Amino acid sequence: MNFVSRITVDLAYTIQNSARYRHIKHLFYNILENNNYRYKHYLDYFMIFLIFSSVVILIREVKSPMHDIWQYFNDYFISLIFLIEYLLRLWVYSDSSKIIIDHYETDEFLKRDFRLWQAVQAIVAAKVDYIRSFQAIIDLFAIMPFFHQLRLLRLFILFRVFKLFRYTQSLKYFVSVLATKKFELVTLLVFIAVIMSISAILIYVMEANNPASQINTLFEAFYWSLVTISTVGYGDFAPATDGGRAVAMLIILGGIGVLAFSTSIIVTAFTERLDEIKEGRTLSDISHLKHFYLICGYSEVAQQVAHKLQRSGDDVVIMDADPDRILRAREHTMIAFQADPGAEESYKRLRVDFDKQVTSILSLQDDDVQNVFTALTIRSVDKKVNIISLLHKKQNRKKLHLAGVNKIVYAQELIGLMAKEMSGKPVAFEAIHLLRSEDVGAYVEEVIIDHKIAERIDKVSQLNIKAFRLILIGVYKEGLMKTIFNPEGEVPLEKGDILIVIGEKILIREFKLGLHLKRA
Amino acid sequence: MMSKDTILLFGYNDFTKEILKQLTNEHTKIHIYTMDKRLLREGKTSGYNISLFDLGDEWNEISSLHDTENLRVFSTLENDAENIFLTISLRAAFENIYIIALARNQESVNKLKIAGANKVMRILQTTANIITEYLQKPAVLETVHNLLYGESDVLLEEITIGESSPYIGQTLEALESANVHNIIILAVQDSTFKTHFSVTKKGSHHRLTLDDILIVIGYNDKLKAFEHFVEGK
Repeated sequence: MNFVSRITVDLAYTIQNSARYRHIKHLFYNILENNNYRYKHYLDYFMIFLIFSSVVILIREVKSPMHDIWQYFNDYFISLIFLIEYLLRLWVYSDSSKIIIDHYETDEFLKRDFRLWQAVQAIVAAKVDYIRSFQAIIDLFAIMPFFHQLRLLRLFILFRVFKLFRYTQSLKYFVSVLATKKFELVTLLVFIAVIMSISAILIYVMEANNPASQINTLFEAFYWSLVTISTVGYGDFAPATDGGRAVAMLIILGGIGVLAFSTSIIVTAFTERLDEIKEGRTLSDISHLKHFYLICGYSEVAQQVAHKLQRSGDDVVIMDADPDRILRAREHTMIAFQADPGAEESYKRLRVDFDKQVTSILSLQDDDVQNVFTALTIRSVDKKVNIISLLHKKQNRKKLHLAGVNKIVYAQELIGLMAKEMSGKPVAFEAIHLLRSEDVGAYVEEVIIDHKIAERIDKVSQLNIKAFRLILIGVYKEGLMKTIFNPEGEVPLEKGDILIVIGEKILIREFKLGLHLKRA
Repeated sequence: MMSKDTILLFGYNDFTKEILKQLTNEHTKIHIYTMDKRLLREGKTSGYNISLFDLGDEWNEISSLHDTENLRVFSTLENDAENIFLTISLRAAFENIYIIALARNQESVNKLKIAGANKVMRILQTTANIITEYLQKPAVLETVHNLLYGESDVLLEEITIGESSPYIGQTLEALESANVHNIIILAVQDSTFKTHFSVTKKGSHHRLTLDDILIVIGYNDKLKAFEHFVEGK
């Protein structure tokens, strides 16, 4: 192997083994190409802003000269950003070092000399593949105004508008929907071209030699033909002969047909893909949620839980195989998508990081078999996510545990406990029940003692809780996993303790604020 | 001899079994009624005091065996329609019995109340509350559970304002100010069964009247001292 080949292969291995390089490239890939990446939309918004700025400057300078600074902004700054973006996309499109290594290892395996030239050809082919793509061509045209000395190239600014297709999901959907009717649209275009050509030639033959006619050239004939077939009819050109008028009548009828045909194609395309588009939109929305609860099965209990979680400001996503339940969830303003909670594919379609984005998964279906199956499916997708499940038959409790459920809720057991209280202290129980239902003006809340509060407050008496008209029911000691009820003033407080307080919401908020202000 | 403070359980199902588990140690006499002969046999095999009944009954057996003034009835049949019918039938027959009924949805809650149930146990709401509390306020769930179900030395108690109480006519706020027994006064239920929480502006200004029920939290000995204090003893 010659010196250049050796250096190239060594460099390729160095790059491949560099975690930093791979991290940076992956980061740029996410920012530029990964629609599910949380920060990508910031780049999208920035680019959209640049595109609109560019167009506004172009429009303004038609009638009134712009300050030089705007010209520089448009010609250099925006173009430079687009150029950088173009080069970065070109970079992340393919992995050149990997191509070199693949070629090198293949040649080694076949015990022949490394053919650097072939590897270079493969690298160039991969990059050309990108350069030839429609989006890349638009990107390239959008950089053209950089060469501002060429006046005509300024019009390429308008190509920047086409770049919007890259940054807006709606436009992408629009194009993808139209793409499904490619055959019909091409047929329509051919039909229009044929009708236009025939009518333009006919009108030219009929009118061109008539001194009273306004249509004197073939270009004017084509222009008249397009204006007429589109039913726009400016009226700047009109046939003067009977023959010309006869052609006009035919083309007007053809124009109506063209309009009806094109409308029906577009409407049909959207109708056929409406559900798919909506689902795509929902999945995209879900992937952008920072934290959310995933509820499997929109049963009656699930409806109540989802409503309560949503009311306290948490994001909730509903997954159910039943289309009617999904419809009901959407009517209840929930983010819902139709999928089988017992199928692994359903969770993969979500395209979310379960450990980071999903706070808990709640399997609240009406049947233990479904809940066990769902828990097993979730566990096969993610080992750590917190799973809560309803239990309907006591004998299935162990099965849910084995399936990996973290918390089991058995309604019958809750009712049993309730019955005990209702039978003995019905009034007291009702008061606690009212507190939990959160519609009586008084709320029970947790206040966590963080390390900064703990630095300033080390015993209960320092909380000054009575000044806020709150009741301190107890202090939950995280380490001991027990509550000290109705604590005396001398009870020590430490980091991680949780105060259980009852009071009006606004006063609890003030109390929390007070604790934090004290630390400042 | 007629028994006092008896519990009648209507229905023999998973709910009833959990209720039985909780109440068996609390009360000396529990009688179960079922409409299903198979469940009757099962209940008898398990050693329960169980009989058959029919929704069209005249309830003569109940009036002959129990003191209906001191009865607590749990209406926990399999479906809400039957529970509602049973509740209205029992209320029509016995004006003073205490009926606690099970409801699966909000619609049934309203109907059971109209039918004459004193308390309604809402399955959906209770389950949903526990799930959301577990997710959002786990420490609250743990604390309230310990408080309610007696797994701590602290008790949740009801104290009725009697005739001799010096605090009749005074506000809840005044009672709180005078309270030196380290007792938490959580709320008060008035004669119209409305609950006023002491931490709310309205609640703190509520004037205590005869038979108001204070809901308090505290250690057993302190609770006794507080009860005497409220009674002016």
